[in-house]
Amino acid sequence: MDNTIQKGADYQYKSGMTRRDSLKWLSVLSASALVPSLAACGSPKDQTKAIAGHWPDLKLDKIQAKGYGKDPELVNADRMAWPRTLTPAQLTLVAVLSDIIVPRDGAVPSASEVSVPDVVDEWVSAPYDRQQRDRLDILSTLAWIDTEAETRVSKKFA
Amino acid sequence: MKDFDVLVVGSGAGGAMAAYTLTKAGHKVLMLEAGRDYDPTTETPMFNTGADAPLMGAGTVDKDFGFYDATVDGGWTVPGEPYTTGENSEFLWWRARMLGGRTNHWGRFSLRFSEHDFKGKTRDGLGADWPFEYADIAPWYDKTEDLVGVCGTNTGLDDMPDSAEGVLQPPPKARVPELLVSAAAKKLGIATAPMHRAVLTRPKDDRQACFYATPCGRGCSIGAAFQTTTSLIPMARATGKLEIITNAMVSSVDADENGKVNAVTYIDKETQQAVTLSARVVVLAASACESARILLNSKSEKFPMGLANSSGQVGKNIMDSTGASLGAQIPLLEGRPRYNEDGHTANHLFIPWWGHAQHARGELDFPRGYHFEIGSGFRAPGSGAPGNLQGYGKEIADQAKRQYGAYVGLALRGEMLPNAQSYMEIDEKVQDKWGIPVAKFHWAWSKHELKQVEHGLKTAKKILETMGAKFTDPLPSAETAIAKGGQIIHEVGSTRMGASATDSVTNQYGQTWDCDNLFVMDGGVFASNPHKNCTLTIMTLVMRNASWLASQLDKGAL
Repeated sequence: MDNTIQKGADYQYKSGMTRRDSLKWLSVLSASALVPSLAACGSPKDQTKAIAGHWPDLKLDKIQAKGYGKDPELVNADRMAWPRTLTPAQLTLVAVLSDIIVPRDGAVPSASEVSVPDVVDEWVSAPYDRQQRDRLDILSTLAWIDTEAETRVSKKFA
Repeated sequence: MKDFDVLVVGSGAGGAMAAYTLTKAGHKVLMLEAGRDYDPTTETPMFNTGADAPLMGAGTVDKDFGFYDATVDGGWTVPGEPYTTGENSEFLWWRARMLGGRTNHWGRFSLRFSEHDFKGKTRDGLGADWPFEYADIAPWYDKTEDLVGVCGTNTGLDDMPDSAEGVLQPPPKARVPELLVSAAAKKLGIATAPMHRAVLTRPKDDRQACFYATPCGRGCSIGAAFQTTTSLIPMARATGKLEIITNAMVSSVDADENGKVNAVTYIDKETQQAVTLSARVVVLAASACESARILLNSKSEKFPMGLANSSGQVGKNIMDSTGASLGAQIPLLEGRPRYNEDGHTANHLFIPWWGHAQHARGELDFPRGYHFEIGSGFRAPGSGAPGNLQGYGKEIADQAKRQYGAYVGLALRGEMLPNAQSYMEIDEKVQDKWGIPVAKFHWAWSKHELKQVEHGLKTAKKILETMGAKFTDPLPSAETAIAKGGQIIHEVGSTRMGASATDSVTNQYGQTWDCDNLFVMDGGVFASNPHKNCTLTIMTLVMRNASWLASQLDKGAL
C-alpha cells in the first residue's frame, strides 16, 4: 500500500488523452447517456452494510459506439474510434492499482507513467463482446474495492 | 478492354499466377476482383507498435487476427455476405475482399507435395489420387519457387522432395528454442528441418530481402514476404496485357446450348448493378469455396445442377488441414540471455512428417501424416499478459522477465481425407446483400483425423517433456483439441481434378470436363489435401495449367 500513500490523498490520474481528443468526445458524451453510472449498484452507503464478500451487481448500459470496422486505416490508426467511459475517480483507482502491480523500478517507469489507465479505459469502453465482458469484471472490481475499503476503514481505496 | 482472351476471376494465389502466366505468354487478360484495390507499399503498418493500435492490436470481430492483419473487409465474417451451416456442422470460412486476396496475409509456408502425397489412394485405398505424377510437376515447382522466392534447404528427408540446385534461397538461422526442440525431437528419432517460406532472404526483381523485424501477417511493403500485390500483379500489369476491375463480385458464369462458356455476370459493388461481359475463356480462381459457389449458382436448363457439375462433385470433397496445438513453459529457456530473434516471423525450424516408414510397417492407426510448426522466441508483446504471473511489484516484474521467451508451442497441421459429411451446397433461402445465394457448409471430422490428432498431441507432449516441461493436466481429447472445419484456412477440393469425368470436375489442367473453355485454377482442384499448406501447390498447378491453356490458345484449340 506504500504506493497509495506516496501518491497522497489528493492524487488524481491525468489521462494521456489529448485536449483535442477530449473535445472531440465531449459533445458525444454530453449528447448521449454513455457516462457509466455506478449509482445502479446502489450508493456506497448502502453497500457498506453488505458483507465484505459482497460482489456488486452492476447494471451497465450496453456500449453503443461503433467499432473501427472491417477496413480501418492501419498506418495512422485512430486510437479514439470510440468514446472513453471511465470517470476520473475510476481512472485514478485504476492508476493506483496498476502502480501497486507495476511500480516504478529505477529507470523503468510505472504502469501509470506509461498510460496503462488510458489503455484500460480504451479497453472497457470498446464496443466488442470480449471487452464488454471485461468491462463488467473490471468495473465490478473497482466498485468492490471501494466498498470493501469503506467497510474496513470508512474511506475509499483511492 | 473488350478484346481480352481470358477472363480471370480472382487475384489471389491462383488468379494472379494465371494472369501472370497468360500475359507473359502474350495473351490479354481481364481480371475481376470482388474486393477493393490494395497497395501494400503504402498501406502496410510495417513498424507500428502494438501501442499505436486500438486495444494494443488485440483481435476483434472487425479484425479477427489482430488490428494490423492485412485482411481488408473480410475475416471469419464479411458484412452482408453471410454463409450458413447445416445442422450439427461447424465450419469457418475466411475471406478477404481485396486485391491479392489472402496472399496479403498468408503464413507463406511453402512445402512441396511429393509422389507419396499425390498417390495416397494407391497406397491406402482412401480419398483420391491426383491425375499426374510428381515427376510431371517437379519442374513447375522449381519454376514457381524461383519466381515466388522461397527460402529453405534441400534436406533429403522422405517427406520433403528436393528443389533443383540453386532454386531455394538460404534460410535464416534457427532460434535457440528451436534448437532445443530439435535436440529433444532427435532423442525421439524425429528430425527437424528449416521451414520453407515464401520470404526473400536475398533480393529478387524489384523486391527487397527480409530485414527480420516486422510481422509478415501485416503484409510486406518491401515485397520480401510474397504477396501477389507486390509481385505477380505488377509484373503482369507491366506487360500491358492485364486489366483489372475491382469491386466486381461475380455471381455466375453463363454457357450456351453446346456447353461453351460465353459470359460472366458480376455485381459492380459501387453501382450495385449487374454487369454481363462476354468471354471466350473463363478461369475461376475466386478461392475453392467461392468458385464452387459460382458454379453451383450458374444453373441453366442445360446445367440444372450448376455449371460443370455433371459429376455431382462440385462442392463435395472439401478438406481443410487438421489443427491442434500443445505448448509449455520450458524452465531451461528461462532467464536466457536476450538477443534479437525476430527472424522472418514464423518458425525457422519445423518438424516434417517422419512417419512414412511407420506407416509402411502398419504401426500407425491413422492413414495420413502431419507436421509440427514451432512457436517460440522473444516476441513483441501483444495485448495479453503471458505466462502465469503472481504477485506485485518487483516480484511480478522479475517473473515476467524470467519467463519471457521461454514458452514453446507445437502446432499440428495434418492431412484430412475427404468424407461424405464435409461439403458445401447453395442455401436457397439465404442471399447475400448482392442478391447472390450463399454457401451452406456441412462438416464432420472422421476417425482418421481424430486418431491423427490424438497421436500428434501425445507426440508433442513427449517432445515438450523431453525439453523439461511438466504437465499436470491430462491431454485434451482429440474431439476437443481439433480445430473447427475451415479454421486452418486450407479448405480445398470443392472442384477436384481427376482422371475421369464421372468422379471429378476438371482434368489435370483444371479444364472442366463439361465446358472446355472453363477452367478452375484455385485450391478447389486439389484431389487430396496433404499436410503441407496449399498455396505453393496452388501457384505451381496454376503456372503449369495456365501455360497449358496458353498453348491451347496458341493452337487455336479453344
